Amino acid sequence: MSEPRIATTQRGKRALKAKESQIFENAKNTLFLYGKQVNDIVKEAMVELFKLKRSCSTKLQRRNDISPFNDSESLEFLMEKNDCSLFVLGNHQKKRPHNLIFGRTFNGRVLDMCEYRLTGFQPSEFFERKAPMNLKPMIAFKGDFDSTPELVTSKSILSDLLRNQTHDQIAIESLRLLVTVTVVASKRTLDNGELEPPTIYIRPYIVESKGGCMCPYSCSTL
Amino acid sequence: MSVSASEILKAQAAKRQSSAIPERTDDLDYDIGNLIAYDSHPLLRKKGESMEDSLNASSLELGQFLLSKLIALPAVPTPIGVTVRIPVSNALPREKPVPRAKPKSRWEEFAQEKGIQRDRKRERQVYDEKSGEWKERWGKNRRTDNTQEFDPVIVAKAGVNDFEGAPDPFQAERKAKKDRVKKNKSQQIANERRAKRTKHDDWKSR
Repeated sequence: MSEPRIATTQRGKRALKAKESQIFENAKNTLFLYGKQVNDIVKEAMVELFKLKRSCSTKLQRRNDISPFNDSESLEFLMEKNDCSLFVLGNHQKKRPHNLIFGRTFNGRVLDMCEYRLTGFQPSEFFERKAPMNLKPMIAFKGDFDSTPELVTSKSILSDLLRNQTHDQIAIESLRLLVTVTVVASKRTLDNGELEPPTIYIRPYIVESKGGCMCPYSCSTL
Repeated sequence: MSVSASEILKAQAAKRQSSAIPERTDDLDYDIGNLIAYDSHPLLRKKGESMEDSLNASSLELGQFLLSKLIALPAVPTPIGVTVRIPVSNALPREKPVPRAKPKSRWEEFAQEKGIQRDRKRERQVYDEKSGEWKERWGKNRRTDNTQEFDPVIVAKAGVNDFEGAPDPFQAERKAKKDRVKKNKSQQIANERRAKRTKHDDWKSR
């Protein structure tokens, strides 16, 4: 990365200052982008996740020849430009179908990433309830996330991804969105003899205060 | 015949309405600062239950645990309604490192050593003696400076300026100002250089 540009105007100076590190940080912005090839299912799944995080996300439209596990330089560049520190990269290739990579950066460099295969997904239109926008979700994790290093990373990244903005106080009335992330270990073995990776179910729910009813509105199985 | 998930849930809720608290004990880990609950027990699946139903049931239970924890937080009086104060959570990593404190300049170090304090609270309005009015310190209608336009007369000093061919006092004043500005600028640069030289760990070296 070249030397940081020096601002010549006051406005530029303020813009650069806002991007600097601060003692109490703002919400982490998420970058939604496509890899070399995508299909509609992956795009729609990403849109659903984007809807949950609209106020603190940027969605790029073009496809990018980015393979983060091989070389993350161009990804880090895009993150820096859009001032994001979380990313969701969607891909669909023959060898890795319906691929989603979640990751985050620290100080401009990739910190950790986790790759998932989307095995089931239903868009929110399928359900009768519509989610209100820009709600701070309550998040619940179910299952043993400490069994493998990938799951430990996943838990941390998903917490970060789903939590959006931190608040120091919140109205009870606005606690209407619950996202549950459940991990279910698989007993099946793959063709190469290894145990199939566990399945993660991400389910957002609308919480009603009366009657304790929770209505699912969209699901993505990872 | 297909039953929508919401209908099933409403039935479940109606059954549960008598006991809002779930049957099992609350042994979840919480990250209240981020409104997160972690339940390490595996998903319970009843015989013949579909995956969705199992997930919905478990979500309902977890949601109730989490909500009851959140409602129990200290309340803050606000006009909009019941608001609770959420504690700070450091469970998740930062996006950028903590900013370094700016190193002190040479003057600031000296001032701290000697205990010098300067309350530099300047008022915008300044009494301008030349025009006899209150003018602004800076800006379009500012007070008069020491420039030839505002100060057309400089009293000559005996032996310095009052003979033929003496150096121009106006030029001397202009030059003195330029020198002051130049000196200030060079001291600023020196301070910045000192600050850069100070050892600190920087992740960003590529």
